[in-house]
Amino acid sequence: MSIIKLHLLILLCIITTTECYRTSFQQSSYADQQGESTYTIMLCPQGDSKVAGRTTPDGAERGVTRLWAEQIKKALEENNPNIRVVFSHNLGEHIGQKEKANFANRLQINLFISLLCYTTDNLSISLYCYGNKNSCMMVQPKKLSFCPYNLAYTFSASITPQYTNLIYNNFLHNPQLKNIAIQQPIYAPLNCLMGIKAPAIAIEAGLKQSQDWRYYVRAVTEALHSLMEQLL
Amino acid sequence: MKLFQKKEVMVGSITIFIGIFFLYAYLNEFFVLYIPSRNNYLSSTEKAIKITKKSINLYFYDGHGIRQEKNDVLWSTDMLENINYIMQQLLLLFYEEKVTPEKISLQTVLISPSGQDLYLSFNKTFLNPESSIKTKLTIIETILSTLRETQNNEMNVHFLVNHKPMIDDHLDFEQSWPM
Repeated sequence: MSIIKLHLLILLCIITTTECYRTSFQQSSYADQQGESTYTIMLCPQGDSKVAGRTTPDGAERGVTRLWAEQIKKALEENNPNIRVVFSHNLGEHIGQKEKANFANRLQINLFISLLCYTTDNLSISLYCYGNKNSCMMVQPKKLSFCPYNLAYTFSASITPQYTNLIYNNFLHNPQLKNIAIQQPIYAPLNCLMGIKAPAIAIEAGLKQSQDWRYYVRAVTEALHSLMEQLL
Repeated sequence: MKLFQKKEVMVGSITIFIGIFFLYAYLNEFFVLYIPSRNNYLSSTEKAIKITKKSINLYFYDGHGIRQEKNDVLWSTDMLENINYIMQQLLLLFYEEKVTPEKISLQTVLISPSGQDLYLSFNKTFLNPESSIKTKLTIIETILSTLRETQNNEMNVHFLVNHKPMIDDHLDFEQSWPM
């Protein structure tokens, strides 16, 4: 009886070891879903549990950008099953830009979008990229090379302007943004885009009232959707 | 035979003692020796020759666009003095035009030995935290444009507050801004 028990135990050990060995070489479920045609976008609403951001007519920037981001995520995932949208941080969480960048780089996202808003008299939308106008001229570093944190953007320095221009052109031709001032893309060293290897774009919306963020949901979704269509 | 008289020995000892004392005091910076030379000492007439009047454009952002104001300044051969004076004038203009809600003063102006970096240290930030990123960038652009009037060569400007990199929610001031 004890010999049978011993054999069973050995068999169980072999099965467990084989399974562990097999799964370690298998792609994770997330990676599996991230097939050739899957596109991962990371949305980063400005502000977190500790930083409220700028004041809006009825509250703070963090609340508005969170709502805006959630609506964009919902609209993007509903319309396109190949798009996966993740948030840089959860509601009530506080993480620094370095952690966000680390998270984005490890996840190997395809696009990083930072959402910001401020109070103004005229509705407006602006696009920002990290770096300067000559960024696209910079040589892309090799995949396995040390790169300073503030130069991580050079990994996608040639693609980011293309993406930004596509979004900008989409905004220009969007009838929903007819009465909204659309600013030309600006290159600047922004904290919210620092350290990210994937193309990173910041979208800043000017709001008269806190509910004005609703005007931008469809416009941003459509711009990202058309960008995906061209890329996928 | 005695080589030295007692008196001579005494005088010599005292002289050596005083000499050593002054050397010790100088090395420990009890006093600073200032030797006037042609480079660091100018007579009032020489100074007057070196200082000239110059018309400079001061740029500022009024909420709609970049505006400029012509200002006559006393221009000397000392670049640090010129930058200091112009920046003080610009900060005053910012306050008058309500770009900044309160008066901001410039603490220090320094140029690196290589002449490539310019360090400007303020007592507080000149950027409104509630402003849009574009407004902040435009204000920085007005400062850089004004500095461009003083300098022909390319420099990288470091913005500091109390001698530490300026902190802003949106813009990264750890790195320099090319003029």
